[in-house]
Amino acid sequence: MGYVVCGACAARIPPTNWNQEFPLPCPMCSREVAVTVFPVALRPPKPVLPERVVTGEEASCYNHAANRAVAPCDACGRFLCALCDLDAGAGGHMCPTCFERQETPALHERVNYDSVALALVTLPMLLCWLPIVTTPAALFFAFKFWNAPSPVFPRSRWRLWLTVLIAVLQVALLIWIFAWVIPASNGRRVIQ
Amino acid sequence: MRYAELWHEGDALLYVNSSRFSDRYARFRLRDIQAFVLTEYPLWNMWRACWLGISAFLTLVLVLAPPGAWKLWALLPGIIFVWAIAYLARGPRCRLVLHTAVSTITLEAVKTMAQARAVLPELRQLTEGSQGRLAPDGLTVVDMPAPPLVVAAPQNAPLLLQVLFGMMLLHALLLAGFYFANKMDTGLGFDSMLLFAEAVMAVMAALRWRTTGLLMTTVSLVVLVLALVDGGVLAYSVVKSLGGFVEAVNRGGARPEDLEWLWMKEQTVGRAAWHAVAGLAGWILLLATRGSKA
Repeated sequence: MGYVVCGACAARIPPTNWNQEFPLPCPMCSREVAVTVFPVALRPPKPVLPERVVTGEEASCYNHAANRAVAPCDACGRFLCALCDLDAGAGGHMCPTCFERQETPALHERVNYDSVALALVTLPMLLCWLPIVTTPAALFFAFKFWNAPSPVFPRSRWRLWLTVLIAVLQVALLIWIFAWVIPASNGRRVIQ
Repeated sequence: MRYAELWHEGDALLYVNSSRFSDRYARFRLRDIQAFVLTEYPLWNMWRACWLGISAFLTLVLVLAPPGAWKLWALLPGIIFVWAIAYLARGPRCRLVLHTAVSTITLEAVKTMAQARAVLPELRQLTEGSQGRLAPDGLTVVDMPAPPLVVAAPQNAPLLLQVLFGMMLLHALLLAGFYFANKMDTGLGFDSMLLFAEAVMAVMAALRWRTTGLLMTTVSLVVLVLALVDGGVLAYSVVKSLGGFVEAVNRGGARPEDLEWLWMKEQTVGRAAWHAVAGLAGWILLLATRGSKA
Protein backbone atom coordinates (compact mmCIF):
# COMPACT_ATOMS: atom_id res chain seq x y z
CA MET A 1 0.00 0.00 0.00
CA GLY A 2 1.47 3.31 -1.02
CA TYR A 3 -0.18 5.78 1.27
CA VAL A 4 -3.39 6.77 3.00
CA VAL A 5 -4.89 10.20 2.44
CA CYS A 6 -7.24 12.39 4.42
CA GLY A 7 -10.83 12.17 3.18
CA ALA A 8 -11.23 15.94 3.26
CA CYS A 9 -8.00 17.47 1.92
CA ALA A 10 -6.24 14.45 0.35
CA ALA A 11 -3.08 15.10 2.39
CA ARG A 12 -1.05 12.02 3.23
CA ILE A 13 -1.58 10.64 6.71
CA PRO A 14 1.75 9.50 8.19
CA PRO A 15 2.03 5.88 9.42
CA THR A 16 2.49 7.13 12.98
CA ASN A 17 -1.19 8.15 12.90
CA TRP A 18 -2.42 4.74 11.70
CA ASN A 19 -4.29 2.29 13.95
CA GLN A 20 -4.36 4.62 16.92
CA GLU A 21 -6.96 4.29 19.62
CA PHE A 22 -8.40 7.75 18.94
CA PRO A 23 -8.64 9.81 15.73
CA LEU A 24 -5.76 12.20 15.21
CA PRO A 25 -5.80 15.54 13.39
CA CYS A 26 -4.83 15.62 9.75
CA PRO A 27 -1.44 17.36 9.34
CA MET A 28 -2.89 19.61 6.63
CA CYS A 29 -6.51 20.44 7.46
CA SER A 30 -6.59 19.52 11.18
CA ARG A 31 -9.77 17.45 10.80
CA GLU A 32 -10.00 14.34 12.95
CA VAL A 33 -8.99 11.31 10.89
CA ALA A 34 -9.09 7.69 12.05
CA VAL A 35 -7.03 5.35 9.88
CA THR A 36 -7.40 1.61 10.33
CA VAL A 37 -4.86 -0.37 8.33
CA PHE A 38 -4.89 -4.16 8.01
CA PRO A 39 -1.98 -6.58 7.49
CA VAL A 40 -2.67 -7.13 3.79
CA ALA A 41 -1.75 -3.49 3.16
CA LEU A 42 1.82 -4.10 4.27
CA ARG A 43 2.29 -7.49 2.65
CA PRO A 44 4.92 -7.28 -0.10
CA PRO A 45 3.54 -8.05 -3.54
CA LYS A 46 4.20 -11.54 -4.88
CA PRO A 47 6.71 -11.67 -7.71
CA VAL A 48 5.03 -12.52 -10.98
CA LEU A 49 6.84 -14.72 -13.46
CA PRO A 50 4.95 -15.31 -16.70
CA GLU A 51 5.23 -18.73 -18.33
CA ARG A 52 6.53 -18.95 -21.87
CA VAL A 53 4.52 -20.37 -24.75
CA VAL A 54 5.87 -23.84 -25.42
CA THR A 55 3.72 -25.18 -28.22
CA GLY A 56 2.08 -23.34 -31.09
CA GLU A 57 -1.41 -24.33 -29.95
CA GLU A 58 -1.23 -22.40 -26.67
CA ALA A 59 -2.85 -19.00 -26.47
CA SER A 60 -0.45 -16.15 -25.97
CA CYS A 61 -0.79 -12.79 -24.28
CA TYR A 62 -2.13 -9.87 -26.34
CA ASN A 63 0.70 -7.63 -25.15
CA HIS A 64 3.50 -10.22 -24.92
CA ALA A 65 3.41 -12.75 -27.72
CA ALA A 66 6.00 -14.97 -26.05
CA ASN A 67 4.03 -15.32 -22.79
CA ARG A 68 1.33 -17.89 -22.18
CA ALA A 69 -2.16 -16.45 -21.56
CA VAL A 70 -3.64 -17.25 -18.17
CA ALA A 71 -6.96 -15.35 -18.23
CA PRO A 72 -9.06 -13.13 -20.49
CA CYS A 73 -9.74 -9.51 -19.53
CA ASP A 74 -13.24 -9.16 -18.07
CA ALA A 75 -13.76 -5.87 -19.89
CA CYS A 76 -12.31 -6.33 -23.39
CA GLY A 77 -11.76 -10.10 -23.58
CA ARG A 78 -8.10 -9.91 -24.57
CA PHE A 79 -5.91 -12.77 -23.41
CA LEU A 80 -3.51 -11.79 -20.67
CA CYS A 81 -0.33 -13.30 -19.32
CA ALA A 82 0.44 -13.37 -15.61
CA LEU A 83 2.32 -10.10 -16.03
CA CYS A 84 -0.64 -8.21 -17.56
CA ASP A 85 -3.36 -9.86 -15.47
CA LEU A 86 -4.48 -7.27 -12.89
CA ASP A 87 -6.65 -8.31 -9.99
CA ALA A 88 -9.92 -6.45 -10.52
CA GLY A 89 -11.30 -7.51 -7.16
CA ALA A 90 -13.70 -10.36 -6.35
CA GLY A 91 -11.69 -12.72 -8.54
CA GLY A 92 -11.95 -10.57 -11.66
CA HIS A 93 -9.24 -10.00 -14.27
CA MET A 94 -8.42 -6.84 -16.10
CA CYS A 95 -5.79 -5.72 -18.57
CA PRO A 96 -3.76 -2.57 -17.84
CA THR A 97 -5.49 -0.62 -20.63
CA CYS A 98 -9.01 -1.29 -19.33
CA PHE A 99 -7.84 -0.66 -15.79
CA GLU A 100 -6.65 2.81 -16.77
CA ARG A 101 -9.80 3.59 -18.74
CA GLN A 102 -12.39 2.67 -16.17
CA GLU A 103 -13.99 5.51 -14.24
CA THR A 104 -15.39 3.68 -11.22
CA PRO A 105 -13.10 0.68 -10.81
CA ALA A 106 -15.00 -1.37 -8.30
CA LEU A 107 -18.59 -0.45 -8.97
CA HIS A 108 -20.75 -2.45 -11.35
CA GLU A 109 -24.15 -1.21 -12.41
CA ARG A 110 -27.49 -2.90 -13.04
CA VAL A 111 -30.71 -1.29 -14.14
CA ASN A 112 -33.92 -2.06 -12.24
CA TYR A 113 -36.22 -2.36 -15.23
CA ASP A 114 -39.27 -3.07 -13.08
CA SER A 115 -38.86 0.26 -11.26
CA VAL A 116 -38.30 2.04 -14.58
CA ALA A 117 -41.48 0.52 -16.03
CA LEU A 118 -43.52 1.38 -12.93
CA ALA A 119 -42.25 4.97 -12.93
CA LEU A 120 -42.98 5.23 -16.63
CA VAL A 121 -46.59 4.24 -16.11
CA THR A 122 -47.30 6.21 -12.93
CA LEU A 123 -45.38 9.52 -12.99
CA PRO A 124 -46.71 10.73 -16.40
CA MET A 125 -50.23 10.47 -14.99
CA LEU A 126 -49.56 13.88 -13.48
CA LEU A 127 -49.55 15.27 -17.00
CA CYS A 128 -52.65 14.95 -19.08
CA TRP A 129 -51.60 13.58 -22.46
CA LEU A 130 -48.16 12.15 -21.76
CA PRO A 131 -49.50 8.62 -20.99
CA ILE A 132 -50.40 8.29 -24.67
CA VAL A 133 -46.69 7.89 -25.29
CA THR A 134 -45.43 6.49 -22.01
CA THR A 135 -48.03 3.75 -21.43
CA PRO A 136 -46.96 1.73 -24.49
CA ALA A 137 -43.34 2.30 -23.50
CA ALA A 138 -44.04 1.01 -19.99
CA LEU A 139 -45.76 -2.08 -21.40
CA PHE A 140 -42.79 -2.64 -23.68
CA PHE A 141 -40.38 -2.43 -20.74
CA ALA A 142 -42.55 -4.73 -18.63
CA PHE A 143 -42.76 -7.50 -21.24
CA LYS A 144 -39.25 -7.09 -22.63
CA PHE A 145 -37.62 -7.46 -19.22
CA TRP A 146 -40.15 -9.81 -17.61
CA ASN A 147 -37.52 -12.53 -17.31
CA ALA A 148 -34.50 -10.25 -16.92
CA PRO A 149 -32.15 -11.29 -14.14
CA SER A 150 -32.86 -9.75 -10.80
CA PRO A 151 -30.66 -6.82 -9.80
CA VAL A 152 -28.38 -6.92 -6.77
CA PHE A 153 -31.03 -8.14 -4.38
CA PRO A 154 -33.81 -10.59 -5.31
CA ARG A 155 -37.04 -8.81 -6.19
CA SER A 156 -40.49 -10.18 -6.78
CA ARG A 157 -42.42 -9.23 -9.90
CA TRP A 158 -45.09 -7.16 -8.19
CA ARG A 159 -43.84 -3.97 -9.83
CA LEU A 160 -44.18 -5.53 -13.26
CA TRP A 161 -47.65 -6.88 -12.48
CA LEU A 162 -48.69 -3.46 -11.19
CA THR A 163 -47.23 -1.80 -14.30
CA VAL A 164 -49.25 -4.05 -16.58
CA LEU A 165 -52.44 -3.51 -14.56
CA ILE A 166 -52.12 0.30 -14.53
CA ALA A 167 -51.11 0.36 -18.19
CA VAL A 168 -54.16 -1.70 -19.20
CA LEU A 169 -56.41 0.63 -17.21
CA GLN A 170 -54.80 3.65 -18.84
CA VAL A 171 -55.25 2.17 -22.31
CA ALA A 172 -58.91 1.49 -21.52
CA LEU A 173 -59.32 5.04 -20.24
CA LEU A 174 -57.69 6.50 -23.34
CA ILE A 175 -59.89 4.40 -25.63
CA TRP A 176 -62.97 5.54 -23.72
CA ILE A 177 -61.89 9.20 -23.97
CA PHE A 178 -61.12 9.04 -27.68
CA ALA A 179 -64.06 6.82 -28.65
CA TRP A 180 -66.87 8.31 -26.56
CA VAL A 181 -66.05 11.41 -24.53
CA ILE A 182 -64.43 13.56 -27.21
CA PRO A 183 -66.97 12.79 -29.98
CA ALA A 184 -69.84 13.38 -27.53
CA SER A 185 -68.45 16.73 -26.37
CA ASN A 186 -67.86 17.79 -29.97
CA GLY A 187 -71.47 16.91 -30.73
CA ARG A 188 -72.76 19.10 -27.92
CA ARG A 189 -70.63 21.97 -29.01
CA VAL A 190 -72.07 21.81 -32.53
CA ILE A 191 -75.63 21.85 -31.16
CA GLN A 192 -74.89 24.89 -28.99
CA MET B 1 -32.25 10.70 -4.54
CA ARG B 2 -29.68 7.94 -4.14
CA TYR B 3 -29.28 5.79 -1.09
CA ALA B 4 -26.49 3.45 -0.09
CA GLU B 5 -26.32 0.23 1.89
CA LEU B 6 -23.54 -1.94 3.24
CA TRP B 7 -24.11 -5.65 3.73
CA HIS B 8 -21.98 -8.39 5.23
CA GLU B 9 -22.21 -12.03 4.32
CA GLY B 10 -19.57 -14.70 4.88
CA ASP B 11 -16.16 -13.41 3.87
CA ALA B 12 -17.32 -10.37 1.91
CA LEU B 13 -18.91 -6.96 2.18
CA LEU B 14 -21.45 -5.87 -0.40
CA TYR B 15 -21.75 -2.14 -1.01
CA VAL B 16 -24.82 -0.98 -2.92
CA ASN B 17 -25.50 2.55 -4.07
CA SER B 18 -28.95 2.74 -5.57
CA SER B 19 -31.05 5.36 -7.32
CA ARG B 20 -34.05 2.96 -7.26
CA PHE B 21 -33.82 2.77 -11.06
CA SER B 22 -30.31 1.37 -11.08
CA ASP B 23 -27.97 -0.18 -8.53
CA ARG B 24 -24.24 0.34 -8.43
CA TYR B 25 -22.62 -2.33 -6.37
CA ALA B 26 -19.28 -3.81 -5.42
CA ARG B 27 -18.19 -6.83 -3.45
CA PHE B 28 -15.11 -6.61 -1.27
CA ARG B 29 -13.56 -9.72 0.17
CA LEU B 30 -12.51 -9.14 3.75
CA ARG B 31 -9.04 -10.47 3.04
CA ASP B 32 -8.54 -7.80 0.33
CA ILE B 33 -9.42 -4.77 2.45
CA GLN B 34 -6.32 -2.74 3.14
CA ALA B 35 -7.66 0.16 5.17
CA PHE B 36 -10.61 2.19 6.35
CA VAL B 37 -10.15 5.95 6.59
CA LEU B 38 -12.73 7.87 8.58
CA THR B 39 -12.67 11.68 8.32
CA GLU B 40 -14.91 13.78 10.55
CA TYR B 41 -16.62 16.85 9.19
CA PRO B 42 -17.81 19.61 11.52
CA LEU B 43 -21.52 19.85 12.16
CA TRP B 44 -21.71 23.60 11.67
CA ASN B 45 -20.45 25.46 8.71
CA MET B 46 -21.31 28.81 7.27
CA TRP B 47 -23.80 27.56 4.67
CA ARG B 48 -25.79 25.48 7.14
CA ALA B 49 -25.95 28.42 9.51
CA CYS B 50 -27.11 30.67 6.65
CA TRP B 51 -29.81 28.20 5.55
CA LEU B 52 -31.06 27.81 9.08
CA GLY B 53 -31.02 31.54 9.82
CA ILE B 54 -32.68 32.63 6.59
CA SER B 55 -35.37 29.94 6.67
CA ALA B 56 -36.13 30.65 10.34
CA PHE B 57 -36.34 34.39 9.67
CA LEU B 58 -38.61 33.99 6.63
CA THR B 59 -40.85 31.53 8.43
CA LEU B 60 -41.21 33.90 11.36
CA VAL B 61 -41.92 36.91 9.14
CA LEU B 62 -44.53 35.08 7.11
CA VAL B 63 -46.17 33.52 10.15
CA LEU B 64 -46.46 36.96 11.77
CA ALA B 65 -47.74 38.51 8.55
CA PRO B 66 -51.41 39.47 8.36
CA PRO B 67 -53.84 36.68 7.57
CA GLY B 68 -54.35 35.79 3.97
CA ALA B 69 -52.37 34.28 1.17
CA TRP B 70 -49.07 35.23 2.87
CA LYS B 71 -49.55 32.44 5.38
CA LEU B 72 -49.34 29.77 2.70
CA TRP B 73 -45.92 31.01 1.62
CA ALA B 74 -44.63 30.26 5.13
CA LEU B 75 -44.85 26.58 4.23
CA LEU B 76 -41.79 26.63 1.98
CA PRO B 77 -39.26 28.22 4.38
CA GLY B 78 -40.95 26.25 7.16
CA ILE B 79 -40.19 22.97 5.40
CA ILE B 80 -36.60 24.08 4.77
CA PHE B 81 -36.26 25.07 8.43
CA VAL B 82 -37.58 21.71 9.68
CA TRP B 83 -35.33 19.89 7.23
CA ALA B 84 -32.30 21.89 8.41
CA ILE B 85 -33.10 21.11 12.05
CA ALA B 86 -33.52 17.40 11.27
CA TYR B 87 -30.21 17.47 9.35
CA LEU B 88 -28.38 19.05 12.27
CA ALA B 89 -30.01 16.73 14.78
CA ARG B 90 -28.27 13.77 13.16
CA GLY B 91 -24.94 15.09 14.38
CA PRO B 92 -21.53 15.62 12.75
CA ARG B 93 -20.98 14.19 9.30
CA CYS B 94 -18.13 11.97 8.17
CA ARG B 95 -16.58 10.30 5.17
CA LEU B 96 -15.62 6.64 5.33
CA VAL B 97 -13.28 5.42 2.61
CA LEU B 98 -12.43 1.79 1.94
CA HIS B 99 -9.07 0.97 0.33
CA THR B 100 -8.18 -2.21 -1.51
CA ALA B 101 -5.22 -2.86 -3.75
CA VAL B 102 -7.13 -1.82 -6.85
CA SER B 103 -9.84 0.53 -5.70
CA THR B 104 -10.73 3.29 -3.31
CA ILE B 105 -14.42 3.64 -2.58
CA THR B 106 -16.25 6.15 -0.41
CA LEU B 107 -18.84 4.19 1.54
CA GLU B 108 -21.77 6.57 1.37
CA ALA B 109 -23.85 4.24 3.50
CA VAL B 110 -22.02 5.72 6.49
CA LYS B 111 -22.68 9.44 6.57
CA THR B 112 -22.76 10.46 10.22
CA MET B 113 -20.26 9.99 13.01
CA ALA B 114 -22.94 8.17 15.02
CA GLN B 115 -23.26 5.60 12.23
CA ALA B 116 -19.49 5.36 11.91
CA ARG B 117 -19.04 4.76 15.64
CA ALA B 118 -21.53 1.91 15.42
CA VAL B 119 -20.29 0.33 12.18
CA LEU B 120 -16.53 0.82 12.12
CA PRO B 121 -15.67 -1.39 15.15
CA GLU B 122 -17.74 -4.16 13.60
CA LEU B 123 -16.01 -3.78 10.22
CA ARG B 124 -12.64 -3.73 11.95
CA GLN B 125 -13.47 -6.87 13.90
CA LEU B 126 -14.66 -8.68 10.77
CA THR B 127 -11.59 -7.71 8.74
CA GLU B 128 -9.18 -8.53 11.55
CA GLY B 129 -10.92 -11.88 11.92
CA SER B 130 -9.97 -12.55 8.31
CA GLN B 131 -6.48 -11.03 8.23
CA GLY B 132 -5.25 -10.75 11.80
CA ARG B 133 -4.42 -7.62 13.68
CA LEU B 134 -1.82 -5.01 12.88
CA ALA B 135 -0.38 -3.43 16.01
CA PRO B 136 0.50 0.27 15.92
CA ASP B 137 4.09 -0.63 16.92
CA GLY B 138 4.55 -2.54 13.68
CA LEU B 139 3.71 0.50 11.63
CA THR B 140 6.79 2.47 12.63
CA VAL B 141 8.86 0.42 10.23
CA VAL B 142 6.65 1.19 7.25
CA ASP B 143 8.76 2.58 4.47
CA MET B 144 6.66 5.44 3.25
CA PRO B 145 7.84 8.41 1.24
CA ALA B 146 8.06 11.49 3.37
CA PRO B 147 5.10 13.81 2.93
CA PRO B 148 5.89 16.91 0.91
CA LEU B 149 6.78 19.97 2.91
CA VAL B 150 3.79 22.22 3.21
CA VAL B 151 4.74 25.72 2.25
CA ALA B 152 2.40 28.35 3.61
CA ALA B 153 0.38 29.83 0.81
CA PRO B 154 1.02 33.53 0.20
CA GLN B 155 -1.70 35.60 1.76
CA ASN B 156 -3.24 36.81 -1.42
CA ALA B 157 -6.29 38.89 -0.90
CA PRO B 158 -9.21 36.61 -1.70
CA LEU B 159 -11.68 37.47 -4.41
CA LEU B 160 -14.32 37.67 -1.71
CA LEU B 161 -12.82 40.85 -0.25
CA GLN B 162 -12.41 42.44 -3.64
CA VAL B 163 -16.08 41.78 -4.38
CA LEU B 164 -17.12 43.03 -0.94
CA PHE B 165 -15.31 46.35 -1.20
CA GLY B 166 -16.37 46.77 -4.83
CA MET B 167 -19.97 46.15 -3.82
CA MET B 168 -19.70 48.79 -1.11
CA LEU B 169 -18.52 51.39 -3.62
CA LEU B 170 -21.37 50.42 -5.93
CA HIS B 171 -23.79 50.68 -3.02
CA ALA B 172 -22.59 54.22 -2.28
CA LEU B 173 -23.08 55.21 -5.93
CA LEU B 174 -26.55 53.67 -6.01
CA LEU B 175 -27.61 55.47 -2.85
CA ALA B 176 -26.46 58.75 -4.27
CA GLY B 177 -28.03 58.01 -7.65
CA PHE B 178 -31.42 57.06 -6.25
CA TYR B 179 -31.39 60.13 -3.99
CA PHE B 180 -30.60 62.62 -6.74
CA ALA B 181 -33.00 60.93 -9.18
CA ASN B 182 -35.71 61.14 -6.52
CA LYS B 183 -36.48 57.41 -6.84
CA MET B 184 -36.18 56.49 -3.18
CA ASP B 185 -39.05 54.03 -3.19
CA THR B 186 -37.40 52.02 -5.96
CA GLY B 187 -34.08 52.17 -4.15
CA LEU B 188 -35.29 50.68 -0.91
CA GLY B 189 -35.33 47.09 -2.20
CA PHE B 190 -31.89 47.37 -3.82
CA ASP B 191 -30.52 49.04 -0.74
CA SER B 192 -31.76 46.33 1.62
CA MET B 193 -30.53 43.49 -0.59
CA LEU B 194 -27.08 45.03 -0.99
CA LEU B 195 -26.80 45.64 2.74
CA PHE B 196 -27.77 42.05 3.50
CA ALA B 197 -25.26 40.75 0.93
CA GLU B 198 -22.53 42.94 2.43
CA ALA B 199 -23.22 41.62 5.92
CA VAL B 200 -23.12 38.00 4.72
CA MET B 201 -19.88 38.57 2.80
CA ALA B 202 -18.31 40.31 5.77
CA VAL B 203 -19.14 37.27 7.93
CA MET B 204 -17.63 34.97 5.29
CA ALA B 205 -14.49 37.11 5.10
CA ALA B 206 -14.15 37.15 8.89
CA LEU B 207 -14.50 33.38 9.02
CA ARG B 208 -11.52 33.07 6.65
CA TRP B 209 -9.18 34.67 9.17
CA ARG B 210 -6.60 31.94 8.63
CA THR B 211 -5.96 32.98 5.04
CA THR B 212 -6.81 36.66 5.02
CA GLY B 213 -4.68 37.69 7.99
CA LEU B 214 -5.34 39.83 11.04
CA LEU B 215 -5.67 43.19 9.27
CA MET B 216 -8.26 42.06 6.75
CA THR B 217 -10.18 40.16 9.39
CA THR B 218 -10.38 43.30 11.50
CA VAL B 219 -11.56 45.32 8.50
CA SER B 220 -14.19 42.66 7.73
CA LEU B 221 -15.44 42.75 11.31
CA VAL B 222 -15.61 46.56 11.25
CA VAL B 223 -17.60 46.39 8.00
CA LEU B 224 -19.89 43.80 9.58
CA VAL B 225 -20.55 45.97 12.62
CA LEU B 226 -21.21 49.05 10.46
CA ALA B 227 -23.52 47.07 8.18
CA LEU B 228 -25.47 45.78 11.18
CA VAL B 229 -25.77 49.28 12.62
CA ASP B 230 -26.81 50.58 9.21
CA GLY B 231 -29.37 47.79 8.90
CA GLY B 232 -30.72 48.66 12.32
CA VAL B 233 -31.04 52.32 11.41
CA LEU B 234 -32.72 51.41 8.15
CA ALA B 235 -35.17 49.07 9.86
CA TYR B 236 -35.94 51.74 12.46
CA SER B 237 -36.53 54.28 9.69
CA VAL B 238 -38.84 51.90 7.86
CA VAL B 239 -40.87 51.28 10.99
CA LYS B 240 -40.91 54.97 11.83
CA SER B 241 -41.89 56.23 8.41
CA LEU B 242 -44.32 53.48 7.44
CA GLY B 243 -45.91 53.06 10.83
CA GLY B 244 -44.79 49.47 11.10
CA PHE B 245 -44.22 46.66 8.66
CA VAL B 246 -47.57 45.00 9.23
CA GLU B 247 -49.46 48.22 8.75
CA ALA B 248 -47.56 48.94 5.56
CA VAL B 249 -48.43 45.50 4.18
CA ASN B 250 -52.06 46.02 5.16
CA ARG B 251 -52.06 49.29 3.26
CA GLY B 252 -50.86 47.43 0.18
CA GLY B 253 -47.15 48.24 0.28
CA ALA B 254 -44.91 51.22 0.75
CA ARG B 255 -46.00 54.44 -0.91
CA PRO B 256 -43.46 57.04 -2.05
CA GLU B 257 -45.07 59.72 0.07
CA ASP B 258 -44.48 57.60 3.20
CA LEU B 259 -40.76 57.55 2.64
CA GLU B 260 -39.91 61.14 3.36
CA TRP B 261 -38.57 60.58 6.85
CA LEU B 262 -36.76 57.47 5.77
CA TRP B 263 -34.87 59.18 3.00
CA MET B 264 -33.84 62.29 4.77
CA LYS B 265 -30.93 63.94 3.10
CA GLU B 266 -28.56 63.65 6.06
CA GLN B 267 -29.29 59.98 6.53
CA THR B 268 -28.78 59.07 2.90
CA VAL B 269 -25.61 61.10 2.65
CA GLY B 270 -24.31 59.47 5.81
CA ARG B 271 -25.08 55.98 4.57
CA ALA B 272 -23.54 56.62 1.17
CA ALA B 273 -20.50 58.18 2.82
CA TRP B 274 -19.62 55.30 5.10
CA HIS B 275 -20.06 52.86 2.22
CA ALA B 276 -17.78 54.92 0.01
CA VAL B 277 -15.14 55.40 2.70
CA ALA B 278 -15.14 51.75 3.75
CA GLY B 279 -15.05 50.54 0.14
CA LEU B 280 -12.20 52.86 -0.81
CA ALA B 281 -10.24 52.08 2.35
CA GLY B 282 -10.70 48.37 1.74
CA TRP B 283 -9.44 48.61 -1.82
CA ILE B 284 -6.46 50.72 -0.76
CA LEU B 285 -5.62 48.14 1.88
CA LEU B 286 -5.93 45.33 -0.63
CA LEU B 287 -3.64 47.07 -3.09
CA ALA B 288 -1.16 48.01 -0.38
CA THR B 289 -1.05 44.46 0.95
CA ARG B 290 -0.46 43.06 -2.51
CA GLY B 291 2.27 45.61 -3.16
CA SER B 292 4.11 44.86 0.06
CA LYS B 293 4.15 41.09 -0.59
CA ALA B 294 5.29 41.32 -4.18
